[in-house]
Amino acid sequence: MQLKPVLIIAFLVSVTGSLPAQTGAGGRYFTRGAAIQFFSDSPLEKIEASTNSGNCVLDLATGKLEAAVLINSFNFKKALMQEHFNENYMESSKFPKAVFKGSLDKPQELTLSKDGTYKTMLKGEMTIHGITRPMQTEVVFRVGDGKIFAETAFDVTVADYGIRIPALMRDNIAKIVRLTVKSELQELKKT
Amino acid sequence: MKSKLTLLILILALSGVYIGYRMWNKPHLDIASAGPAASLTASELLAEYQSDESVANAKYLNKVISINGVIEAVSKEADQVSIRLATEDVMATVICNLDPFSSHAETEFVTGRNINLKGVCSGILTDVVLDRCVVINPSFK
Repeated sequence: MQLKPVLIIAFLVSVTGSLPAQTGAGGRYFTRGAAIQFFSDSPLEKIEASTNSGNCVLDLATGKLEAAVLINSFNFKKALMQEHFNENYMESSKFPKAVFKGSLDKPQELTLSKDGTYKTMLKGEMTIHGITRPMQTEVVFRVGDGKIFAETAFDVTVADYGIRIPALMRDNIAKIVRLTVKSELQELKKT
Repeated sequence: MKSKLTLLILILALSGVYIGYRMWNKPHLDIASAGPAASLTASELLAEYQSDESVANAKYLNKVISINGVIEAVSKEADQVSIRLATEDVMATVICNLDPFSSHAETEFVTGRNINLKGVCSGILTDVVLDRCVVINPSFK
């Protein structure tokens, strides 16, 4: 049973509430509409899919970040690809979501209340297809016009997550797929 | 005799190509004409997911369902229209992403409107997500 994001938020609230007051940085940010794209570039074909319903919660005081996406929500141009992706490779009826849990380096240097561009490393664990692996990526935050955008791109080695590609399809599907994530973060207002 | 055999092989090869081509270009499931596996309100669907996610997934995941609710918010990003349906839980909604493969009679929606949509259930994060949605009760202006 996975922790519900609501519980995670509640947890973060309780954890940060018990910490000594920090100066400067802080605040919790979230999105329920992160755009995630998936690219597989192999000698025979390029495969692309995307979704706009990634979730993410960031607690700036501790740098903790959690993100999740529903596998089924990825849309492919070809119905056959989408079917194979869900049924043969990701087995989305068994593993409906991919989850990342980790933390940002030096969150105190991210003053998301001030305009500017901030880069930092995100390290943690990614769970895809029921398998959890460590991973890290650079995240870029852009703050301006009262909006906060975060983006990152990273590679995922398909075999690392126990996803088997039949020999027949080996030239059609890349061994390493590229994922890009773009999202606008909103500050979680205390109620 | 030989030419008949060549003709037969040619016909077989062509039909193979044709079947392969049809499979490759298999259309996405036509949501508008698909009979829904279940019909319920946004609050009911969310409540089922919140009480037991795996039971709800067994019932609804990857199935076409019909959903009724009141529009809480609408967002549009890169042509993807997402309609958020209000539920009894103030923290969570049912998100309906309009189908990018269907044509829609309307893409502008007002909040507060009662809406009935059909889409494929993708599961729950904070919100229950339905993808490939089509509107069943268009508004008449």
